[in-house]
Amino acid sequence: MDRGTTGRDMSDTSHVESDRILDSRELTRDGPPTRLQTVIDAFPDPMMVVDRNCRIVLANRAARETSGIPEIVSAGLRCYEVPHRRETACAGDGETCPIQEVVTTRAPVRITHTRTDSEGREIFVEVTAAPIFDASGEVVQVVETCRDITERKLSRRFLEIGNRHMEMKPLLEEATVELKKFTGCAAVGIRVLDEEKNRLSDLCHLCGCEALALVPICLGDRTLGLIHVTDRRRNMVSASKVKSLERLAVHLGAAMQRVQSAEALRAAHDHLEATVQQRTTELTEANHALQDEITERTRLEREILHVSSEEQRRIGQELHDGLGQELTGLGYLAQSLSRKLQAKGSVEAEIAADLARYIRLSFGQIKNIVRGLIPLEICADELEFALQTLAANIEQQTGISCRFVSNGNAPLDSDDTAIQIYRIAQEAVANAVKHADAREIVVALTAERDLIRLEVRDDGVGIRADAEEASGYGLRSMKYRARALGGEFEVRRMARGGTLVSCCLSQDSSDAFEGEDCDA
Amino acid sequence: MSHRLLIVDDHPIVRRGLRELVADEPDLEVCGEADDVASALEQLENVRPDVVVVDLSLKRGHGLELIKAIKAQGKRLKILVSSMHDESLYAEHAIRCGASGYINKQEPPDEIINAIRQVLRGEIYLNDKVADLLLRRLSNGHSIGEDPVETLTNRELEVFEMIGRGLSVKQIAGRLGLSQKTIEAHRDRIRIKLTLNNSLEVARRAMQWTLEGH
Repeated sequence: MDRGTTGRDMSDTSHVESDRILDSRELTRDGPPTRLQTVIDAFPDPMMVVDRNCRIVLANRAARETSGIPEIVSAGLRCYEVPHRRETACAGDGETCPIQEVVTTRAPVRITHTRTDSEGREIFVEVTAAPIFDASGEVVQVVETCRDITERKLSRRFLEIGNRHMEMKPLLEEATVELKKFTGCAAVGIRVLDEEKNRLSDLCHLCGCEALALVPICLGDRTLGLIHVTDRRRNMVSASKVKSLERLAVHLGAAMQRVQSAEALRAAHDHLEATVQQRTTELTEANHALQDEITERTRLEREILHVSSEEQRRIGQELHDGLGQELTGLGYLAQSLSRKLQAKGSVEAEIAADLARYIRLSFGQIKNIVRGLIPLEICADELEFALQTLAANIEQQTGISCRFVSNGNAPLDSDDTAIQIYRIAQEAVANAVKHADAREIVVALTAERDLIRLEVRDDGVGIRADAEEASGYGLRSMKYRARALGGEFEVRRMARGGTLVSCCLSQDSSDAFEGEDCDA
Repeated sequence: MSHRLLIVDDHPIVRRGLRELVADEPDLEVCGEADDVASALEQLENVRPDVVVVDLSLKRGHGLELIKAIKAQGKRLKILVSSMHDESLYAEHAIRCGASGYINKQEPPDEIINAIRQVLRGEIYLNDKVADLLLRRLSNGHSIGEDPVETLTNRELEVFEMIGRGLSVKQIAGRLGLSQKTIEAHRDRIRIKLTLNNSLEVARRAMQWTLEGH
């Protein structure tokens, strides 16, 4: 016989006088139930009144039905023997006995007990117990109700795993394990409904499964999947189990929805990442293409310069070796003709003399042209000499004053740089002679530290706004040359009139031009 | 008695013009024409001229080759070079090879007649610029007969020869394993030794020297 924590034997109820104490004999007698019995029978969860030794003195219908023992009171069973199906009191098994707890605390308690049901399932029972006092205030009996909270716990669990998982597969694996524990069925599965294909197939019956439940997992009007429960044993799927599964399916659906959203979000993020990656790659490729194009363009510009200087050289050579020689011969002939006519006293002698003179002038012009066309080979340290000669030649040929000024030796680091600067000066001076109607041209070469500046100034009419299109090649070739040297080029009309052409380069960047003209 | 003249020039119109010009002079007569070295040497045997007027660029071969060949034969005739090329670059060389004068074709027609007469008198014909250049060279200790190229050091000669073959400073530096600055310094010393004005003249002189088969 069990003893309560107070040590007082409560099995003998004979001394209990209070009408508040329920007498088991009264409750178990035959005939129509008492009013009290009718009241507690209406309660849906199992409800019992037990004495301090856990002996059942009153039980409602739900208690009798769930225990499967109709004579639950008259059989003199103890509370832990009915719902718990145990031989010993709960306290002896590591769990808290609600009766002892109520007797000790004299207050209602709520305790969760774990137990195994007839199918071997682990179930959770929430026991609520409250004290019944006698007239002296002693706790003499306890009223307790039991509620199966296994389903509720599983609902919470679904909520928890839904929050924990980021992918559908592990979520469903864990949910399946939980559902298997919950149903006790041999096979439990969750099928995700493919919305596109909208079909499920099942071979369970062919495999000899006697019990089967397919519970849809719905969220709003969407069906996300099915909980699939099968077992070879008959009746393993009861109506109440299906009801539970339906309720659980709602929670599972919410969990699945959450994970699906997470997956969709991650997919969108991955897609964004991939897109960014791809765009970055495309941008890099575009940059490379642009770089190649710039390189190619620079190469072409150099090619143009090279080809044009080659062409100039060829024309110069032909003028020198061909036309120059022809003019020499013609000059001799004209001179001879003039003498012969003179000897005869002919008036036409004068014309022949003019002819000879004009031929000589033409010859001189050709010499000048040739001098400008045949490429120069200028040393880095001879640029000043070359520019001085250029200025002197221009003055001699055109009668326009042309001066060269410098502030000392410009420290050029290569012959190629010298040649390009000379060419720019040559072109700028030629433009001034042709277009500016100038009285004076100044070619200036100045050097400050590593910075070298070439300026060609004139006092003429000033460059026209449309000069670039009009003069075409000349200005462009100066620009190309400046760019090939890595320098800055500018042509502008000066405030006081006239045109200023300037090319400024630093020695660090002036080795860009790989001596094409010098290799002649 | 008129002096006999052989014209060696690859341009027919130059020969024709000079022939007409000379025909007006009672003391001169054209005895033959040629347009390359081989035909000139052949004519030399047949027509026995007193003076040869020769251009430097010929159809085949070079005027300087012809001058050397004539001198090699020990002929006592006079040679006048008449060329489009700048006398400051070629005149000295032509004289050293044995020519008696050098006249630029750009000079007025009468001047070539003067030049022909001058060399026939046994004098050297050069314009003032070239004459001045030669005097300067003499004052530097060179004799007219001495080829200043022979005063170059072995390394300078090597560089000079490569310039003559058309190599750039960069290429020469690469071949000799020297820096471009060093090559430029060599070229500058060559320029001074050969009494030239700039690197362009060095290049032309070197090319000429190479063409002559040194």
